[in-house]
Amino acid sequence: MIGETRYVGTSVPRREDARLLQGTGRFIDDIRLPGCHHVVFVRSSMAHGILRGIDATDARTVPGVLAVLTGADLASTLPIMAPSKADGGVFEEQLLDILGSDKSFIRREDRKPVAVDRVRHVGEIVAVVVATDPYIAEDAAERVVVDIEPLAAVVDPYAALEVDAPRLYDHWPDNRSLRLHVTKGDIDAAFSSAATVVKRRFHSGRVSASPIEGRGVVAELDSRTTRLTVWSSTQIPHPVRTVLADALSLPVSRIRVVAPDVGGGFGCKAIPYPEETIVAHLAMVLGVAVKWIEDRWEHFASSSHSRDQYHDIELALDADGRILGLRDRFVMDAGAANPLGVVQPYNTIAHLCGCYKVSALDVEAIAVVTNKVPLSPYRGAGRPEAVFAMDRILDVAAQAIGLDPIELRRRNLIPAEAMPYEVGINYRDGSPIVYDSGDFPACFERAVELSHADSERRSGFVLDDGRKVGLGISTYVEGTGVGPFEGALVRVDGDGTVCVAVGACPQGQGHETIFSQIAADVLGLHPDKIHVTTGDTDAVPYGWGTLASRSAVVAGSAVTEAATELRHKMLEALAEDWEIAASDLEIDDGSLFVRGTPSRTASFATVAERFLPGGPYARIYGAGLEAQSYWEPPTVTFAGGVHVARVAVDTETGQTEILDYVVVHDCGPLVNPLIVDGQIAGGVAQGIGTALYEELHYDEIGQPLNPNLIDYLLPSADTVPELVVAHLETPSPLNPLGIKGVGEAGAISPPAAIANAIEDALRDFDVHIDQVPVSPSYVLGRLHESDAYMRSRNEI
Amino acid sequence: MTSVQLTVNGAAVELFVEPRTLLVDVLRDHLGLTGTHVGCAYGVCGACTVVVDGLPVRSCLMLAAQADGAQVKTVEGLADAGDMSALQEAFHNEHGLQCGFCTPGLLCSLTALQEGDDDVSETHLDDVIAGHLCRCTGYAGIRRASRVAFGFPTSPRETS
Repeated sequence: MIGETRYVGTSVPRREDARLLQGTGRFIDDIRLPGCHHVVFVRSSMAHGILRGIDATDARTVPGVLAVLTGADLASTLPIMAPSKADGGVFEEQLLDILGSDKSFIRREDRKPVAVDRVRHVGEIVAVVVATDPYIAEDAAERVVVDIEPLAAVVDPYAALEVDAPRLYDHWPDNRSLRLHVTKGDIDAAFSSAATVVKRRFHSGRVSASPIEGRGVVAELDSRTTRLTVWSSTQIPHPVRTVLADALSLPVSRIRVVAPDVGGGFGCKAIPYPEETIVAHLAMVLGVAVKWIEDRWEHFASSSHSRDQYHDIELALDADGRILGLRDRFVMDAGAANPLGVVQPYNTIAHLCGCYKVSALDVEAIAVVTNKVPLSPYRGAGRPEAVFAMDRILDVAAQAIGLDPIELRRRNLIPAEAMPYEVGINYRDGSPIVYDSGDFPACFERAVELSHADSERRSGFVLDDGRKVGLGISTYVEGTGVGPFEGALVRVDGDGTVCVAVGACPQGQGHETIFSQIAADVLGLHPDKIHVTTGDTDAVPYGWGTLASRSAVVAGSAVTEAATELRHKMLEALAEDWEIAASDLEIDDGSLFVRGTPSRTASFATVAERFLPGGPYARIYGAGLEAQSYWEPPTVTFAGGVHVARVAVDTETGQTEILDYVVVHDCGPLVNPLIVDGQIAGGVAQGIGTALYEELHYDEIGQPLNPNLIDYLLPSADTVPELVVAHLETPSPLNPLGIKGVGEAGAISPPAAIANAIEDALRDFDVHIDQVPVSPSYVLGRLHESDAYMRSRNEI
Repeated sequence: MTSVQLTVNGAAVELFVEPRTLLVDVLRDHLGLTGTHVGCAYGVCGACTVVVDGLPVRSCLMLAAQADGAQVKTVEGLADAGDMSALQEAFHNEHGLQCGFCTPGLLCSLTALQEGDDDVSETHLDDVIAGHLCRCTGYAGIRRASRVAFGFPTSPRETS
């Protein structure tokens, strides 16, 4: 990298903190506009049905109500929700072309933002109430009478695949939303020559991202400029703008989308939602500012769920425990729609082999629609499901062969000297998957060492209180920094301060801090002199957003590239002016000076002033000391890591406690170690939730059973242990900073590592842990099926 | 409408509100103190916690009328404007926040603990933190920050 690495690599304190700690941050509900009206959505209370009619007469009489609109009122103005162009959606066509129509298809739903004649999940929007005050809007919403004729609900994804299953979409021949089939090598030969074949079904439960701030949208039409401004608690302002332009038939130039401070996202805010279109439309037609703030029930009933994959996975191994082939048929319960298409299921396919050498592979993914909330990626985005299936089946194989699970993994890890390693299938961006960097065995051995996993006394014994101790290990790779691009604009103003604007859009990741660090090193001034703008489509014309562990890599590279160009511009102009070589100039602390003659100096302000329109440098180099970059990654860069969990399981109550947890991670050089460790810690906590606590349940008619934070358990401080975290920093060759993404990493391995540890703890009882979350009742259920356990109880 | 008199961050205010108005809505909507956040609106997540007469209270579960006559402290009142208390400084130094949405509630609960009469043990601290949901940090930074602020020894971030 150009410049000196003075700030990159250090734990520069977060500049975002002060406002957030003092209560002066600005989240979506903190945006106050004069005359703002409030939106409350009336949502379906039935999972599946024909919408017979809506009577809003009574609701419209409530004083303070401005409008009550139904799907019928809005059907002619609001179009069908288009497939999302956010994130990987942009690569979808290309990927399906590569796979071929014999191996893949995807079907599109024909849903409208407000249901018109059919409802397909509890929580689907059926009417919209607009009033002067949220209390009044709630009152009126209660008076809207919705007549739904129930249809048989489809709840179980396997039942949804039956020939006579009720169908969700009449224009589809069945309930399959998508099929993807990926193969490599000779899978039949691998299985026919195997010494050992193991097979299991594993289920990753349905979870909710549950940021503490739900979603929310505020919209206002400026009557003077006729521009629409939409504030949304989103991860993707630019794709939201694209969707709004299409839906509202507005030119992109008349829409500004801003993400203010966002109170967590984790993927569930990385798709465009119907509420954004509806609220923006209301601002246009009603001529007042409007606001909608999601409540917690709505979050469970309308913000995307995730995971929910059932894997029938089969592994063929030789007599030494080397993997010969992997076969996996998995079903993803998409809920009522699959807004991000291939992203989640294809991520699962692409990451299934992980750190292991697998020469023959045959994976088929089916997404099935059911009468539940639609699914989209949540932190990990298909990878935790893949790793749960793979690392669980490896433990099953280890037991079948009689090998230690650690030793079995050692025999199958891709060696460091094989890097860059071609997996033999494509990534979802269409490029062949190549692990560009990393040292899996070194990561693995470090994790074994830090967790003392090789020690006899680490597991397989009983604590004084009777709980059984087990140890589980899991490895993962993660394609990070996905394209197509991210943009950065860097400018030095006449006063010598620097503005950096990026298309990325943070939800707590500290973008303002890390992008100022990166620009500071390239330009040669203190990060405090750099102002960073994120999440505003007016600040950067093109962008994608912060999701998929991509921002440090893609936006960070764009900042590096733009700042480098700016640096050269300053050096070139001043060198020409002073009639010296640019290589004789240095930059430090916001000043350029002649090497060896520090008294001959010009500040950024001086140089920038000469670039102002009409200035001497402007006449030669063009006006404005600014540069932009839209950095396109060649493909993803692979981060990886190893997790080891040690647990104690109470066989009387089924409770699991995590005794200690080790993470060894390789995301290349750390831009800000404090922030990287924070990302890991937060990811692991969410992974613990997925592993032990979190699952959304539905009854047989499609009613959600626990759509609240009382019955849906998020990990609290007493359930998350102190982590031991270590880093390997093997640089990526694919970007100027050598970095790899880290946002999702922590959440990938905990389900596998913890489930493996629990099964290990219960090894005397030959208990199979085939799902996450491994709730106490699940553990007890499995124990009660175990003859060995029941015998041991009878002996007491 | 009902009359409610409060002292909020040291300033006396009188309001006329519907009896059903929640304390959090008075703080946010009537007084413009938007630092107090609503995460669940039923008392589980803790984001809306403020200090009422020295005790931490979920302001989404208290009617403004119930707080009539009370001293209320919100995140905006934890230090002079633009300044930070030792607790806030510790959250900054120990990476006790990421998105910052749950943070004001945690700060208020811990401030009430700090200003209360009880001898505070580390277990006590952990219990208070366990009464709040944070989805970003995994709690490690919050535990470190609170230990620093309460003068307990902390181990450095375990990393290598």
